[in-house]
Amino acid sequence: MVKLSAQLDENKRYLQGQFENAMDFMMREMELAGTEAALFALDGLVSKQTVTLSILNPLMEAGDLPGQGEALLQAIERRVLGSVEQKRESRMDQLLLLLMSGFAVLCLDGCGEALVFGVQGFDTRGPDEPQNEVMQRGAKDGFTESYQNNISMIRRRMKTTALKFEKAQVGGQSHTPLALCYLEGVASPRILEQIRQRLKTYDLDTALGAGYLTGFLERGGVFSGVGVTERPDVVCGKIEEGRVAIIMEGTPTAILVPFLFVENFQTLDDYLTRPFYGTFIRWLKYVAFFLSVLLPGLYVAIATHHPEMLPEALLLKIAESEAQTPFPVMAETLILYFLYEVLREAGLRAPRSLSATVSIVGGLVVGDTAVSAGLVSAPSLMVVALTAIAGYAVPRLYEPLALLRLAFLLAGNFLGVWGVTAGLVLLVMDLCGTDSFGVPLLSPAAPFSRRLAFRDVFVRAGWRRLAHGGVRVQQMPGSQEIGE
Amino acid sequence: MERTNISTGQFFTALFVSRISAAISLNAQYAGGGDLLDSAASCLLALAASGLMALPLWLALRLGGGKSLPQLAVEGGWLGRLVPAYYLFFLVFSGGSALGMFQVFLGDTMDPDFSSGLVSAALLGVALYGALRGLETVGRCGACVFAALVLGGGLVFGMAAVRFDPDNLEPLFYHGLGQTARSFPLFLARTSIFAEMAVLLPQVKGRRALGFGGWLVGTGLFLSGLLVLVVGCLGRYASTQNFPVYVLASLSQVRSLRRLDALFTGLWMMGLIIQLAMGLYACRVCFRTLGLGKKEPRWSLWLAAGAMLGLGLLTAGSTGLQGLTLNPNSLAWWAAGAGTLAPLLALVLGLRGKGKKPPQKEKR
Repeated sequence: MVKLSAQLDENKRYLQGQFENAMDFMMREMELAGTEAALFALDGLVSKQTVTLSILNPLMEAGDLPGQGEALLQAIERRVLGSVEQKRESRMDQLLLLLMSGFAVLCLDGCGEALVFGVQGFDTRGPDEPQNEVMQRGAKDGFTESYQNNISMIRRRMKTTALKFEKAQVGGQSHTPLALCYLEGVASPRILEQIRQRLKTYDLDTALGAGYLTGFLERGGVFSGVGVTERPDVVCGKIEEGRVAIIMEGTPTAILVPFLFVENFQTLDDYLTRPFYGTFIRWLKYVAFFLSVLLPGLYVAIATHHPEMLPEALLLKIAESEAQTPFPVMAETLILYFLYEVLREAGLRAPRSLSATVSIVGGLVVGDTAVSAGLVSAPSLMVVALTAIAGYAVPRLYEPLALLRLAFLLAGNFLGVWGVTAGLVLLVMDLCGTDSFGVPLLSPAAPFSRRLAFRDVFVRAGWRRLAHGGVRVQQMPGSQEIGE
Repeated sequence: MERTNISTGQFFTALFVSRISAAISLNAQYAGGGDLLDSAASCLLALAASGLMALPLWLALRLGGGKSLPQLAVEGGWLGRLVPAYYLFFLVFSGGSALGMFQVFLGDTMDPDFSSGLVSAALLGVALYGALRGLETVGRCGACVFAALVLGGGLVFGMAAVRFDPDNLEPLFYHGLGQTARSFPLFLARTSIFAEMAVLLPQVKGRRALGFGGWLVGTGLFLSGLLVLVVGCLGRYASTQNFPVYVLASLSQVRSLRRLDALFTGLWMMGLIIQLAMGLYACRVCFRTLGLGKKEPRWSLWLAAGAMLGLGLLTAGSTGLQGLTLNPNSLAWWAAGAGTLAPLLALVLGLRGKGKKPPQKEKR
């Protein structure tokens, strides 16, 4: 560990060497009470106006300053400069990190410590409405790329000293700062410790998004035990139930752990509407989930192997459509499904000005022309379209759903409804065997707790009931802290 | 993460689901006669007998403290290895037999346009995955399957109940006690609960005797109720069918909703997977007790699954073997061995083992 030298020249040489060929490195030399001094900062990260007004001007205008070295530094620190975020630092690695985080560093000749000032001045995006978690009635502000702004958004909603933001850092090269956000006395110390331990295993050089980190936090399984949100109100709701949020610099997404399977179906809107409607919406989402996973597989299985299961009228319609197309049902559904995914990806990646064109052309070509040309049948197209729409009812599960559909499609084609059934049990088995930080992913459905399941899983109870007898996430049945 | 403990509710729910999957595969040929309703009485009798048969097992488990019966027996000397070996054999045998029965059903009744062996392999693959994930996973999944059984079974049998005609119910024992006697071994045989309790019960937390009692009453009521429904809906036609419960499901219809036999098969499969997964996990414990592997060896699961699949395929392919693996009379003897004889042997060996141990020094 390199320490700051008492010789200013040595420090200057060291820093200039470290920032060689870095045009944003700034050094302002000056003389203070006969002592050589230098102010270091990185252009673009600091506010030049703040540096001038809060540091340079007071230093230049300061009258007699006593002594040299430590005495001078102490006088500047106590009497001359009054930055809110100001501290001493003597380790070079920390100074480098602070410089790259938008701090200005003042070094004096004859002093082994430097003064650092928080004078960040880089632009940040304002809190817009989250694009991926649209709410009908919820707040319209979402997280931004600045984790300090994000922290302030949470603090504004939770005015309690129990709210903690524990600092950590990941990324061998990027040194990305992050904060573990939790309510002391509510979050489980065991889970917190597990998170800290898993963060220590992060061995990538950079952390450019929440997805980098989630890979190190989750432990296998089809469905993730780690959730993400772009909304500060959702974070507040979750930490109140004992969860821990990880807020990372550079990403507008907070990570939530432990994250149960049922939470994929819960949105803030469920709680902002009346309970009966919230329950109705919840069930719609459950049905949409099963529809999205199973419909293509069941359609192919029934149309290929068990046509007797269909009512005659429907069977005749399907048979009529299929007779006019050149491909078997499986190939047709598979092609349509891939086309849909290609269209979706193209719509997502294309420049905004083109995405509407992509959708219209894709929709017209696939939806209309392909059917009228007799390349695909209308029932298959309808099944794929229904599946896709149903998938968007539970957007958090889109990734696993996209692959599960394919798996069930293949199972249905090769083994009929028996294949689909076996796949379904396999999926449930996987869900039952997965934990999120020691809490069963399927809790409170399996292990089952009637009180909890009929509170916020199968029904969304009213606020009077939700206000009493709630449990924290670490107290879910089957979790490591309480057992079955 | 694999966990090795399970609650009483989960354990006996999983066993209930396993038993129900065996129940809905009721084969009239093995029930032995045209008076299926009399089989309801034999079912209740068989379950009462099961309760009595299990007494040595409970006694041995009580003596063993926290040990399973195979562990207890092994401590009594080399002869004790017979107990885990027997349970291992029985579990593989009953799993293979259940799989064979399902394959016979697929081949004879559903006649799929692909190999039914593939379906069996898929089932066993899922069960193997569950067993690899641990007992708790299987237990939780069993509870989910139980919910599916209640909903799906309720739908199928509720729709079938429209056909229920009390005139189909002949008086009990109208043709004597022959049918009751012939069916008795069938209901005694089609379960592996004794072996699973002997091997896994020490890993179960909670009021285990209450769980077993609940299992007996629950399965008794379900099975006898199912038989009454089958006979009430199908009359004497039921006894002419190989799989009368399947026939009942395939005849259920409410307006355009019909042919629920696929749903019925799905429910059967779900139960079967749980049964196989529980059996496989218990096999793994037996392998460890036999000293084949330091911890519970994972390879043993693959071995047991392969053996079950092999037996299932052979059973489906050979009518001669069906006489052995599906015959309720022979199966009942094996079950009696697992429920009574093996526990008695474990009890004797356990007592001998205890006698051999040097007395423990008093703690100061």
